[in-house]
Amino acid sequence: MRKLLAIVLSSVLLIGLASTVHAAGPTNYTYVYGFWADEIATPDAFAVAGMVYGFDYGIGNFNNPQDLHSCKLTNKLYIADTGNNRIVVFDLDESTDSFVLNRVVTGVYIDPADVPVLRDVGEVDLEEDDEEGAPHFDDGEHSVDETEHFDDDEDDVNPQTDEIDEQWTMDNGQLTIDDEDENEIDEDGLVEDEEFPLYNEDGLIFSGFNSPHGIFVDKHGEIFIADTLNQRILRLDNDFNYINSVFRPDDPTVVDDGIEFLPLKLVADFSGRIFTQVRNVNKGFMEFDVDGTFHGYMGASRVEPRLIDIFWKRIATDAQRRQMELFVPTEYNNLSLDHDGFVYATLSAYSGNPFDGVAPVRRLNAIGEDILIRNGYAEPAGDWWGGSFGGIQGMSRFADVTVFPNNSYAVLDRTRGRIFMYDYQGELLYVFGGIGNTRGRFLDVAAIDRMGDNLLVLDPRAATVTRFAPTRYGSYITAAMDYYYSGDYDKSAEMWNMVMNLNGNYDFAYIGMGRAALRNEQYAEAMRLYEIKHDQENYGKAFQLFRKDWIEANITTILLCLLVVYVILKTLSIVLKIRNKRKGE
Amino acid sequence: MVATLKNIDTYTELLKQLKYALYCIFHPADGFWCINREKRASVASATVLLVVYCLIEVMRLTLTNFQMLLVPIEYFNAPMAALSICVPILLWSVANWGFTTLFNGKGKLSDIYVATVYAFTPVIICNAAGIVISQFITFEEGVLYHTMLSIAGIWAFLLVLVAMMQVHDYTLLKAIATSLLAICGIGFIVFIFLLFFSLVSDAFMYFYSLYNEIVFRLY
Repeated sequence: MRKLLAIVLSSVLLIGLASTVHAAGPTNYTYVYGFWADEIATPDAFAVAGMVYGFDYGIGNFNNPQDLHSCKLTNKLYIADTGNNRIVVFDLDESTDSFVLNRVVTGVYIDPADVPVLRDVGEVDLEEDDEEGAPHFDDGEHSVDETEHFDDDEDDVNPQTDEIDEQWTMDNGQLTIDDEDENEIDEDGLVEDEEFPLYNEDGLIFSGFNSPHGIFVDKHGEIFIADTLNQRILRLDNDFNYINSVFRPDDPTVVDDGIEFLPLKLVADFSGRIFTQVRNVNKGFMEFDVDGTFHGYMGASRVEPRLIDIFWKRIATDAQRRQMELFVPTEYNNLSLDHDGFVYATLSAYSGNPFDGVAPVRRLNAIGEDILIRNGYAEPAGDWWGGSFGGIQGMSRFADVTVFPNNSYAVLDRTRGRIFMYDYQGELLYVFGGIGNTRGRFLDVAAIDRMGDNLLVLDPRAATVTRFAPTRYGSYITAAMDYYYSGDYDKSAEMWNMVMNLNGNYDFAYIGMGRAALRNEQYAEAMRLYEIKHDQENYGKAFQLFRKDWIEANITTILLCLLVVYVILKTLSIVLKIRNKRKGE
Repeated sequence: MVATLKNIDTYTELLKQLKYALYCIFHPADGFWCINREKRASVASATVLLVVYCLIEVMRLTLTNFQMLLVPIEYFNAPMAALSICVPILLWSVANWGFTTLFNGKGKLSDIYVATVYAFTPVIICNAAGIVISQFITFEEGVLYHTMLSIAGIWAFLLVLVAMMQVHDYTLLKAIATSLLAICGIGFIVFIFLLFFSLVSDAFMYFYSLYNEIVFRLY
C-alpha cells in the first residue's frame, strides 16, 4: 500500500523533479530515493581513486574487456581482455595506491589430451543485444580452429611471462617480448613459430585463449577462466599452471544437442562447485564440480504466465500461437559469489513492472532458490522509473553485481551506467556513476568487483577500469552497516550520527539511530526518529514498548482515575434516579 | 432570518434533528422513511452534518497516528480534502435526483441530499473514533482500526441504498438500478464540466491573444 501510494504520488512529482536530475559539477552526482519516491541528492559516497588503461602499462589498450576479478588475498586484479584473447594481471601496490602490471597471459600449457574438440557454433554474437551500439565481438579473424595449431602470424603473442621487468614492445598493436633467450627449448620440428614453443619441457601443449569472457579466482587462489570460443573452462593454479578443463557435458539427456557450451561468466564456490552462465542456456547456471563433472542446472527462473495469456493461448489458432511470444525463462547475465558462498545473480530483462515476477537481482541458495531479502521501499531493481533523458530510456538493466562482507551489494546498471548500492535488507543506499566521458562515468559497463572497500568497474568500450574509493560519507555508511552486522549497535548508531551530520536528509541514518535507541530502551527517542523516517512498523515496535512502560509506571494513577470516573458516574446516576423519582411523584 | 437565528428554539430543533441521525443509522428503514415525510431532518441539519464530516476528514488526514495512515503532509491541502467529501455527495444528489424524477421517485433534491448525508453518519463517527483510537494502538494492532473503518464504509454504503429506497419509495432492485444510473450520471456531469471549462478557457485564450495582437499593433 505504502509503495503503491508512493508510486502514485511520485509520478505526479516526477514532472517537477525531472529538470533537477542532473547536477553538473566536478563531483559525481549521487542520489537516493526517498520515502515518497522522490530523488534526493546526497553527498558522494564513492570517488574515483584511479583509472587503469592498458596503454599506460605498455601492453596496448584493452580490447573489449568483459570481466574483471579482484582478489584481496593476493592484492591482484585480473582482467579478461576478451578482444585481445588474454588475461591481464595487476598487483595493487598499496604504498602508492596504484596498480602495477604483474603479467599478461595469452594461453596456458595444457595436457595434449585436453585440447578442446570444438563444435561448430557458426557465427556467434556473444554480447548482449544492445541498442546503444555497444561493441560487439567480431570473431572474423579469430576462427576457432586456429587456436589448436597456433600458427597464425597475427597471434604473435608471448605465451606467458612471469617477470614484469622484461622489455615490452609494441609491434603492430600486438605485443611481443624483446627477449632473445626465450627459445631455449630444442626445436624438434614441433614448433612452427620461432618466438615461442608449442610444447614445453613437460610435453604440455600451448593452448591460447580465445575470447575469454569470464575470470574468477577462488579462496585458495585457483583461477577459473571461461575460455568462451574454446568452449571450455580452464582451471589453473595461482601461477597460471594448468590443472584441468571443463568441457561441454557429453550427455544428450541433460544437455540438448542444440545447446552450445559457450561459457561467459563463472564463479567457483568454497565446496568446489563451478557455476557458469552459458550463452543461450535459460535453465539457469550450469553446475560442475572442479573436475569437470556436470551436476545439473541451478537457479532457473520460474515462468509464471499470466491468466490472460493462458486464455489467449487457449483460443488462438496454431498460426497465431506460433507468432506469440514464447514463455521462456529469462537468461541470467552475470553472477558473483558472496562471502557466505551464496551466488548473487543478475538478469537484464527487467521491464519496470515489479509485479511481473522478474527479480533482476537474486541471491541463490544451494538448490537455486532466490533468498534475497527485499525489505526496501522498492524491489532492488535500479532506477524506479525509466524516463527519457539524454537520449537514454528504459529501465535499468543489470550487468553485474558484487557483494560486500556485510551483505550489502553493488549492482551495475547498463542502461545508465549507474551503480546501485543496496544494504542487506534491500534498501537502496545510494546511486552514482552514469554514462559519459568524464572520470567516474562510463561509455558502457561490463563488470564490477570490489577490492577491499574499493569498487572496480570495467568499461569495455572505453577499455578502462575505474577504481572508486569510498569517501568519508560512504565509509561512515559502510562502517555503520558493518557495526550493525557484527552486533555493535552503539558504534553503529555513532556512525549513523556521523552520516547524519553530513547528510541530514538521509533516511537510513534516522532508522539506524532509531534502531540503536530502541535497543538501548530509549523508546521515545526511537519513536521520534522513526516518525521522521515514516517507518510505521518499527515505530509500532517502539511504541508498544513505550506504551507498556508508561502503563507500568502509571498504573496506580490510571486505576485511580478509572475509580474516580466510576464513582462520579455512579453518584450521578443515583442522583438522577432520585430526582426522576421525585419528578414522577 | 436574523430572528430565526436568534431564536433559541432553532438550535434545540437543529440538535434534535442531528440526534435523529443516530436513530437513522440503527433503524434505517423506519428512519429514512420519516426523514422527509415527518420533517425529522432538514437541509440545515444535513449541511451541519456535512461540514462536520469535512472537518473530521481533514482531522483524520492530519491527526491520525502515522502508523495507521501516512499522508505526505508537505503536499496536504485541507480545502481539497474537504472538497473530496462535499463534491461527490452533491454530485450524487443531483445525478440521483435527475434520474429518479424520471423513474417515479418521490424524493425531492433536498430529500436526497439530506438522506445521503445522514447515511454517512457511521463513517463520521468511526472516523472520529479512529483518530482517537489510532493514538493508542501499535502498527500491528492497526488491523482493528482498519477493520473499523471498513465496517463503517460498508454500513454507510448499505444505508445509502436503504435511504434511496425509502426516500423514493422504491424496491431494492429499483434503488440499485437508479443508483448505478446515478453513478454514470456523475461521470457524465464531470465530463460536461471538463468540456465546459476547457472550452471556456480556449475561448478566453482566443480573446486574450486577440487583445494581445491589437495591443502589439498599437504600440
